[in-house]
Amino acid sequence: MTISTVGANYVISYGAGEVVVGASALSTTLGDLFSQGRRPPPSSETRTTRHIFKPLEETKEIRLFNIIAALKMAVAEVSMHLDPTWRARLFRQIDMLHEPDDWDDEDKLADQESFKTFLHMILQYGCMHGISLGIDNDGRILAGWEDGSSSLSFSFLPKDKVRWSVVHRQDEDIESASGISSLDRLPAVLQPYNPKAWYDNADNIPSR
Amino acid sequence: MGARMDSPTESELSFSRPPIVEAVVERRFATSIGMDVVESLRRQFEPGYPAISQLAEMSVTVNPIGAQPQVSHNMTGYRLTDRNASAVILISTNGIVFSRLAPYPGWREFSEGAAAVFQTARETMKYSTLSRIGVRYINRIDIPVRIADAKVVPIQLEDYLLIYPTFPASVLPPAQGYTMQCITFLPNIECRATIGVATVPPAVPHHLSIVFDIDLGREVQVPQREDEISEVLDMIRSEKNRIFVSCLTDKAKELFQ
Repeated sequence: MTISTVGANYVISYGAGEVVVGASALSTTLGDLFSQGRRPPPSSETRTTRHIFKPLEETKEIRLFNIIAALKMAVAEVSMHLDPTWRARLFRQIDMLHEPDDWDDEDKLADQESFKTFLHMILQYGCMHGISLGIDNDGRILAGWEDGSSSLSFSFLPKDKVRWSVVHRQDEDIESASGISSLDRLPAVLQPYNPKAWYDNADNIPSR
Repeated sequence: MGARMDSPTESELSFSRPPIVEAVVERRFATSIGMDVVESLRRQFEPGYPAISQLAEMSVTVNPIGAQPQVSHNMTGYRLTDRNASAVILISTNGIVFSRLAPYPGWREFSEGAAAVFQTARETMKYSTLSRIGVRYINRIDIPVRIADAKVVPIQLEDYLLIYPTFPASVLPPAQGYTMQCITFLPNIECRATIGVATVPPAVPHHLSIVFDIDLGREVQVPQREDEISEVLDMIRSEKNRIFVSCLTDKAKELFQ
């Protein structure tokens, strides 16, 4: 058995073939080959070359770049239906949500199915203004508006479902309500709280 | 409707909402390059294309005389995406692909982006004989679904696309989805054309989405010099435009305005 190096990898040549491995897999592979060597090789065995897959080291930065790219690609796929200015603003929010300093290695990244539901809402009801986005601990996309003591927030679930929550001030009374609805039903269930006032005038509402 | 043979004008191709989901230029190598060259290319492109994933292929060798099957999981290259997810480079041992995602910026910007990538690649890997150059445009037509009397109004695909499957209504009920591929050789540009039409899951709620995929590639007399490659790509582009315009109805084109 001989071991040689090719770039950052090791090539182990032995009786039945060659194995190419990275440094991290070297000792395991050698142990494996030595234990194989104690068994008589089957007569049918042919000389083969195996290239052991060496996964790319996933740093926090690469994970963040990859999820940013995945979310922006999801937007790109439907970009012909979105206002370019709104899309540019959304891209900035996606970048801001993924500042490396705000993330730990073990944090759960944005759930792409949740983001798809968010996009479907925008495609179905139009570009909403003043929207403020977030990501919860489970990776779900959050969207919210706030105006004084009133607020509206959405948590986007897979398969076009939305968990919504509203705090509505009516004169001196404050009402709150929450629920889970399909995107199709959302306008109907929010109707008592006049949701269009949030979306349409939202440029005048400071985002969170 | 007779097929047109001339290239469409710029105004015929000017849409405020072009349906292009992805535009691709591929250069395929005659002989595979080494993974060390692929790694060099990755390092070269990485600063501008920081999102990286690996391309891999898995093969299983089954020995009929009783030995254990051998499974190998080989890395073949990388997929690199730029910061705005507007451009993607695929580097593999078999070739390099430059891809521009929607919104499509027009041929000029797209081809300049591709040329810059291939220039960098050539400087890094030196000369490698090409066995294919190709251009692919993946279009998606999102057709709104109408409801009348609480029922979905059936969409007639031929109202939008002139490539569609037909079959006797007495044999099958209306299709819920389909996939079709036409492969032909275009002698005027010496390219193989692969035209794909397929229904896909709706990209937009309450729409029907159809992919119209045009892939043209030169596999004979493949140009090797940059000026010749550019010339052939222009011819391919012109032919792609002709196919695109000829296969869509006015009703489909209205959806892109």
